[in-house]
Amino acid sequence: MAEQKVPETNKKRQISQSYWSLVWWKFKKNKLAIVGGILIILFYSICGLFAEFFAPYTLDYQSDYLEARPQPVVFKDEEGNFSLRPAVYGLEEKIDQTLRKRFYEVNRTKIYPIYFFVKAEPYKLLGFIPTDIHLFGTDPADPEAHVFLFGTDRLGRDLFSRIIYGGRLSLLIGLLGQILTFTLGMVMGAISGYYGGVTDIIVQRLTEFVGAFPDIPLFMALAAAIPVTWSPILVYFMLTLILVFIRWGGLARQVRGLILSLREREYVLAARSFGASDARLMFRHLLPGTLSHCIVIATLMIPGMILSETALSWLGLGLRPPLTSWGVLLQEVSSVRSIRFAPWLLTTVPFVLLAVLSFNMLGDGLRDAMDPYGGR
Amino acid sequence: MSEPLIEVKDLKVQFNVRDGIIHAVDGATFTINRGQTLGIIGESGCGKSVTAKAILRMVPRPGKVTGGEILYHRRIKSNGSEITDIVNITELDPDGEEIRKIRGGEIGMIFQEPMSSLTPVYTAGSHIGEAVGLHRLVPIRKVGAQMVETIQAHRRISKQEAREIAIDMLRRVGIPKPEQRVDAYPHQLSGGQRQRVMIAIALSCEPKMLIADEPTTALDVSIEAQILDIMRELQETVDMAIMFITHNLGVVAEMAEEICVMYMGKIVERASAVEIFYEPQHPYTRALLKSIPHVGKKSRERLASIKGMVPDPFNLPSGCVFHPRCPEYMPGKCDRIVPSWTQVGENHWARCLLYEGV
Repeated sequence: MAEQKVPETNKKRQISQSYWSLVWWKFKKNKLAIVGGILIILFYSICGLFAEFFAPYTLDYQSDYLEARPQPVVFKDEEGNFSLRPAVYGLEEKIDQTLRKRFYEVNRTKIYPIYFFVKAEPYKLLGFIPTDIHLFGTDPADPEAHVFLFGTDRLGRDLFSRIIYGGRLSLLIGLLGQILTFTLGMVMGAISGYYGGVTDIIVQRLTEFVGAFPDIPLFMALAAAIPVTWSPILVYFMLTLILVFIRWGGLARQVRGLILSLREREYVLAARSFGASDARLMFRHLLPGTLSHCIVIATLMIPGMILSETALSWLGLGLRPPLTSWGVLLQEVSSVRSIRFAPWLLTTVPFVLLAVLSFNMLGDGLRDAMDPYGGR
Repeated sequence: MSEPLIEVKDLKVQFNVRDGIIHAVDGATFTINRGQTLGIIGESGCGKSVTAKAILRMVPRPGKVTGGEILYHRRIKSNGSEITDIVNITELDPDGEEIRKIRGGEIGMIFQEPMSSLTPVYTAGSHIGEAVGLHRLVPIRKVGAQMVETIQAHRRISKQEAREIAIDMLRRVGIPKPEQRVDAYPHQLSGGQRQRVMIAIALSCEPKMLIADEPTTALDVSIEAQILDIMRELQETVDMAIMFITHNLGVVAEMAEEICVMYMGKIVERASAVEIFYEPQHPYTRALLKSIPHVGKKSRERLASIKGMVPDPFNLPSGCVFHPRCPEYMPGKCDRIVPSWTQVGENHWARCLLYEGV
């Protein structure tokens, strides 16, 4: 008979498992959610924090290659022999006589090796560390060399770099907007549910009123109200606020429902009997009870936020150049002509999809992990 | 010694519901002296808890205090000498600053359901801390917090101090290993422990009075005995009055010095505990006492019960509300005349026509 021994570390853990450690324990077992979480962290660090480092070119760098196709990556050196260093073929300009249009063909005789941690355009990392090192790029000594992994747009700007920069605004609008929505929804929901009566009626009718508006026309009206003279950053924040204004209602109603059931619990009465004020009861005794539920909802709402921004920008109602977001990038491909002659500009789409999917996978994982009644 | 702390005079609480008005408390009058224990007994629904909640202005909606006054004799230190300031609690704003200071800080309350009286997301310590913090005494959010919370609510004190107070309070209410338990969440504690935490919260601000609303009803008898012991011990050390609400006559006999018997929102008899048990005057009190089973007394007789049902609160009997169930019903009198508060002995009052000589 083999002796059964409980490892010492396990014994210690059994003494007390906090709620969050249980959540983490259950969350860990959901592989999809882990993948989603990792992807989100990658997205936010690559696009949000270190876009300048990961992008080989700056946002407004214009090359001479207009609407150039993506350059395939190969593992060959300049003599054509196999090499571990990745490289890209050069591009050669051609004219299509029938269409009378300029286009690029891959020139297999020219090979530009890709170097990592190259010195290129100077920038400020995180906004304050001056540096000029980029993750990858071509030999800085060779002015001919260029690397356009996803091709270039009509003005000759590197799409790969622009997708990374565009992700910054798109992802931040999701996060920032969701934080505001979360706060507003929680506070309004708590007030509505806690006080009940007239307050409740006013808040609930307000959410219904906002929710009953058709989104797009309301958006058009609000977006049109943003003065043209405002700086792009202000416009960006206004857009975020507009999104928040439209979307806080759903969360507020959910919080209200939860608060309604929680406020009848004995512990609210008990806390009141110790002299706790209304605000204290609402925000310290009631809201924490709704938190796990709300975090899940909020996570699942972020993709909606990102998609709204993308959709609105695509319609020309949201962000406008020179601001660059995924929506703005997609707007540039909104003509048949672009799709016919520069289909690589659609590379933005998989990134939007991936970001949205990641959030959904993470949210689903969180929901399963945080639900105390979910068996399985 | 017999200095009054709370004087309740002709208190009336009504619930205005769709089917009519319920007189939950109808002219309750009693006094609680400093350091004294007053027991309030009666059947379910007779207005015991509502009376208690009225003292803290926590009558649930749609209930309303419609008459009478609750005078709280508050001791204030001014210029080194203590003066007594009389506050009429019924005139305070139920959501105001003033009543919140009294709640927890000067009058603590513990509830029937220890299982659900602690906020699940905070530890014992943080609860105690909150109360102390709220009352500018000190803070506690675990069961320690729940306690720290109470402490925080009532004094301005650092987290560390609050934690120490929470641990100290937990030790005083007899929780083993308080240094660890202070970080325990409510679900990690047993019912008895939770009720101890509740008591610790209530006592952490050293209130002048503790309202205990059936504090042991949900607990088993051995825990009940421990909790009662703790309450009595602590009462002696901090000279605190207790208003003890229960329907358990055995418990009240053990705890209270004076007892009020309530029936349908009215106090029907008030006397010292000894007199209530040995010389009950009101027929209702007698009937209640008869309905207790006696251990060791074997008899073929069935246990006595009060005949009839508690009357419909919307349709109260005329005259004395107890007359349809009263074994000493006097036809023509009891169903016509509302009995008044009559002295039947030294410090012994009853509301019954038997003693009015009508």
